[in-house]
Amino acid sequence: MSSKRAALAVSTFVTVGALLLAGCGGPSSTTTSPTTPPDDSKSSVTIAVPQVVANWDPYKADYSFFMQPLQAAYDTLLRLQQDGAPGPGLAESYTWKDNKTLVLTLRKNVQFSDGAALTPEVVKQNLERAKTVTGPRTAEIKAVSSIDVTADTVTLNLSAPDPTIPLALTRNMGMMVSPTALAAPDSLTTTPAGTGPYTLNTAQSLVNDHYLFEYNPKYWNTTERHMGSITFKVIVDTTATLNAMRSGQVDAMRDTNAVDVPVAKSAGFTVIQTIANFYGLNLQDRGGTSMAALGKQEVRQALNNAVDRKALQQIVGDGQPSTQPYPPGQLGHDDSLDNAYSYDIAKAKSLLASAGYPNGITLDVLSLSLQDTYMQALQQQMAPAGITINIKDVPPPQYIADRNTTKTPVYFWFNSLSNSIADAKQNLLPTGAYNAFKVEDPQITQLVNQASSATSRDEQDRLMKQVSQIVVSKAYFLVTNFGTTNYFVNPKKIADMQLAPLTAAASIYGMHAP
Amino acid sequence: MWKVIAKRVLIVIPMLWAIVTLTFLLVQGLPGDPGRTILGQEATQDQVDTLNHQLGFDRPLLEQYVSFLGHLVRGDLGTSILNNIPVTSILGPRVPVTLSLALCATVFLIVLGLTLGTVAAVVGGRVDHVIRLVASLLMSVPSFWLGVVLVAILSVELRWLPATGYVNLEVSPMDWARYLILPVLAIGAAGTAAAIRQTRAAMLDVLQRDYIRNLRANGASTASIVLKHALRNAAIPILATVGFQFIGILGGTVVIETIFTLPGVGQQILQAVGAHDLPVISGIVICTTLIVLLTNLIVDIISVLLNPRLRTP
Repeated sequence: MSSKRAALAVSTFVTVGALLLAGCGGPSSTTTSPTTPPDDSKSSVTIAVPQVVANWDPYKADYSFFMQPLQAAYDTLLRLQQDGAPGPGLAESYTWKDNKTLVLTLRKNVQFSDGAALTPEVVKQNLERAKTVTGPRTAEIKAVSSIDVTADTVTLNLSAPDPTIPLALTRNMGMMVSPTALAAPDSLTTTPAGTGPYTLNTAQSLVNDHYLFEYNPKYWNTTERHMGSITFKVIVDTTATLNAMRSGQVDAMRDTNAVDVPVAKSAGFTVIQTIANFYGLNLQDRGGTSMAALGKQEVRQALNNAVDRKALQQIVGDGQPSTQPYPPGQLGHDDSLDNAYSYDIAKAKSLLASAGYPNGITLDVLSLSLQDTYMQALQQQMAPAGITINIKDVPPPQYIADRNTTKTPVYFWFNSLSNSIADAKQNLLPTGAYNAFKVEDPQITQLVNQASSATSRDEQDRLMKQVSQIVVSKAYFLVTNFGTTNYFVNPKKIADMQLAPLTAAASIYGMHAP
Repeated sequence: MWKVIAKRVLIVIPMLWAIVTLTFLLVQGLPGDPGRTILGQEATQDQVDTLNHQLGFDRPLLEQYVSFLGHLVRGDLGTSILNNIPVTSILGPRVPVTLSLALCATVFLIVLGLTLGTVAAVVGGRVDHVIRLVASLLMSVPSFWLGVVLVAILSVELRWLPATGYVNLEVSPMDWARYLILPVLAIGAAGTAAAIRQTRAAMLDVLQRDYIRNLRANGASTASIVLKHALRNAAIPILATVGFQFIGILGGTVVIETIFTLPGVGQQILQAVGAHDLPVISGIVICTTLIVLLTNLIVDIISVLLNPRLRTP
């Protein structure tokens, strides 16, 4: 063979061989190249919050809009899921042995940010603190009378049935503090000590202004997506917060102003919502102690008939009109009660007349100037029925101090919803914080206590539906509308931010950069 | 002159005592229950009573007052009831923010006010009319409204300047200035208007004096007459206005710091009042009072330096 032919043969062979090798390296139906896990370490976001906890001891803090910074630092024993039910958290599972015994199976190999290990003994030490620490939420687990531990379980023994304990363990009471910090509790004034996905960088934070949290490399949940860092920026004024978000300084915020929702949508933000509250009046003196008229069922029913709930929804914003206290998807919600009272002025007048008030009644209603639009609308709607509403606006601290006292027969009620059984205990039982006149309906007391003892959700729902029927038929409250929590998220900076039912702000667990 | 200054300094102590006492009484009169405010509505009454007892709110008023004064006299501003950290730790990083805002706004109003007021007085005619119109407009616009409008246009729509926040001077002077532009414009507008009007009035008065006519007759330039002679003699009432405006700006920081989310003293006091946090409230009142008294003292000293007739007590 000539040298030229040999060269041609060799080069052909080499070329074909190279092509074959290249083909072998590409994707095929039988082999796949490994996918690279996303790198979450470099992402950073700023979340606006109206306030931050004054103290990093979760047992001394409240929840609602404090929840996000607390979540950053602390895991909870149970975690609230998207359907509103408690699910696994630091406890892999929980079961009710009977209606007074709750068993938690603790996850292994979990460390606090300071290196201490999470053990059943540490959980017991934390939960027992609820008896000695004064905090807004410590009463949520007051039914826990004793705690037993084994190598991997924690058993809560209750003095009385309380089905709301698992829900309490998804919030402050379920937040576990390092034993090292518990031994020196003053340290919690400035620095949290939890097992959460982030740790606070105190050097780069300013109290009451901004708090920088960085991802915790010791975090136990290595498969959960996260951010590299989160800055919580304290902005009190909602307009300033929305401006900051629109100008790109903030990436997520909570907003209670219904008028801001279209603004947020037009700015390209994702708006996530959940029904989280209701608007209305708490007819607290429904026993007629200081205001005889309120003690009459026909009067309370007349109030319910004198309200145009559809019109009020324009003021409340997103949500839905309602005549019952428990929202869709929650225990006790009964679809047949959605429109129990129609807007009927003639009927309202007739009811008042039959109750002995043909000339109408006057209600002095404690309120806040922030709610003037709603209250004035209510005032105008009720006037044709002969119901005169005197709006008594007071500053917020006075409103909080006065509303649940016997000085206040009726007050404007913005009720942040929680578990229906817990709500009923607060509002309807004579020992409830929102029942200052200690009015009791024995049938309701019995039903609520039975629901507390039930361990099946279906049974609880059945019993609470009966509570709803009594509350609505006897018009114990004036509920007009369900409102939503609105949460705005910049989709270019944040993905997978979830808003669970009945929560005030979106959870930071699992959120990550797009 | 030193006697005058000494008198001004000595008067600080009784004034401070009076203001601090008034603050104590006003806080006691605030509606609401401190323990309930801190713990929230869900807490039981027993828990609220326990916390009130721990914080000393159930003691007799006189006992609380004496204890409160005792701490202050020892220089102890106390510990925040809400945050449980020393008041000085809370106020320390915040005072420079508020001072930055107030001082920058004052410099802004001095520069713009003096310049436009002088131009109006010297040039007169249509220029004077326009400047007076601008001053009237600036004076009638509320600072919070101006702040919101500036943010809507310059931050949200145009994204030229940040809507909220603050950067320390030592971290980045450029960013420090950028973040302060809008708040300074918002809070300084009304003060600038006052400075324009005062400067114009004072300059018009001085420019009509005989010695100014003599200076013109002797061939002195307008610039020399205005800058070297007239302005100096017009300075005292202008100085008083500037001092007064600075104090007004200090008071206005509560609203502006809220709109622009500046981590200053003004924003902090809102939270402290809401939480009945008396140590923080009194700490802020003392700081602010000292700044106001110091401002008045500086104005008085400069006035004395400018006008020898004021040097005798």
